[in-house]
Amino acid sequence: MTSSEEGLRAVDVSLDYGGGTLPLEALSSVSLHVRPGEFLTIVGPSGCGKTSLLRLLAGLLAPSAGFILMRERSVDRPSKEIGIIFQQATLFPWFTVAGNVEFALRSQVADKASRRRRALDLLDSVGLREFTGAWPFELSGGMAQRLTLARAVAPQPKVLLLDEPFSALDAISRSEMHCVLLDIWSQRQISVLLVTHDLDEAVTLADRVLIMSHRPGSIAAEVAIDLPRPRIQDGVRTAGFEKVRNEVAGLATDLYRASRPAPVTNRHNPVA
Amino acid sequence: MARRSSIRWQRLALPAVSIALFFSLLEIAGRVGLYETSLVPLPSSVARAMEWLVRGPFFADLSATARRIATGYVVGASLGIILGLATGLLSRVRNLLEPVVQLGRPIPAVALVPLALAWFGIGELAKASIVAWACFFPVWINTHSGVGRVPAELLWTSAVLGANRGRTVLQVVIPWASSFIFVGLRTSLGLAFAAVVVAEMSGASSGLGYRILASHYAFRVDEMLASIIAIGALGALTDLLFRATARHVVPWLGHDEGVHVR
Repeated sequence: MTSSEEGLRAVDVSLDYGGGTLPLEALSSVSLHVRPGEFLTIVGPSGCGKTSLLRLLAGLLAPSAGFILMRERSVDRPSKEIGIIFQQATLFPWFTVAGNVEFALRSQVADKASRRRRALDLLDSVGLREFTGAWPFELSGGMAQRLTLARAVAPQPKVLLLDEPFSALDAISRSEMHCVLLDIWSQRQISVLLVTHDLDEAVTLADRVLIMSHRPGSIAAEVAIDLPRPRIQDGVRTAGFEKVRNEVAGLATDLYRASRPAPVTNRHNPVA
Repeated sequence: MARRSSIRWQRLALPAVSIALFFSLLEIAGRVGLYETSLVPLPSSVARAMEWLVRGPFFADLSATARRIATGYVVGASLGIILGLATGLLSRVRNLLEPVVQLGRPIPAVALVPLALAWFGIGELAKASIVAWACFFPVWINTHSGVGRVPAELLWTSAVLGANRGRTVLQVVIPWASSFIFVGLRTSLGLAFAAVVVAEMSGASSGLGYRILASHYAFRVDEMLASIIAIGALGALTDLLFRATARHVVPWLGHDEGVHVR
């Protein structure tokens, strides 16, 4: 298998939201390739279809045109190979911390005791070992996200998709989460595709940053981030970070501006 | 620790104080002639009547009422959960049954009392079926809408984590709907009391509802109030029991204001 056939790909994918009050094109001819072991981030203005794109890649939505391929096989339903973490909280409040992870292990580990052992190992890796028996509502926002992460990698996905998972966290918890995520990514050798509107986050984490345009969303530019890792040490960005970040920010600003839709005049507004 | 026990003490003591204060004021007001004691008897004479009831037919009435509530509630609520799951989860069943169920929903249990008497006579079946009717609808509608409103992200997460449809229903949909189901169950419990009293007031020879009416004909307001208070106490006790059960069955809802299990 050549490298272009491996990993998760979107090929000329478009998505129309028809039937509603305003039928609209959410995504227009998007192509991307998440290579094995790669950390990819997508940035884009709000409403550009980032979330829709992730749902397509996870097999939760069907594209109006184009294909989603995982190792050259069509993705038309959710599978354990492609994990996804949503913006919304999705922990199961009726399971304990360990129970949430065990849920995700159920289909591959039949034996209850070894399932518990695996769950504890996973909780250990995100620093939640002492909270095994706690209920999700007892966790802080950062702890809940670490649990979500541990649960998402439990079925051993090849690709992990994340939809702005850290946007609700404070700055300290967020950089803590970056470290946890980078650990998981490097230890498990999975591919990660993270969607964010935070350019700092994108540049801190990614091998490549894809910049999306306004609706209908499409990939407008791609920037490879060649900064050596780790890019944060003791909470401080390493040399060269600012320069790359500013390049990406400049490019993103230009692209957002160029693709911004014309303002809609409001007939019903007497002031306008 | 000291603070927690003082909170517990307050939670027990303050209601007791407020109840005692209320009845003391009522007793004093009656004795100084602020109201007509043949219509609103003194708390002390209600207590005497209660004593009489406890010695007399009271326990027979209480147990008859409790039995009717229990039978009707178990039958009505179980049917509500089963049908709610069926109409909520399976579109075929929903299309088949929802119109019929919606047709029955606005009919209050009270309206069915004469019909139940005509069909089932004055026996236990008539009373239990009226209670069951009253209990069914809140449980059904809450279960039905609960299972239908699971956020898409939860269902997707379940699928991505490798759960098949059966496991998703058992471990995601039903637990998610349980807060709705418990709201329905608790609403029904209140309605069961209303329904049983109405049922016992028409065509019964025992039960607290019957006793209220019998006391009315005998113009024994004290006995009447004693029975009314007994219903209130039975209701409060049942709700306490309900919350204690809920705490064990759905412990994760402990912080959820909607169900008030704490």
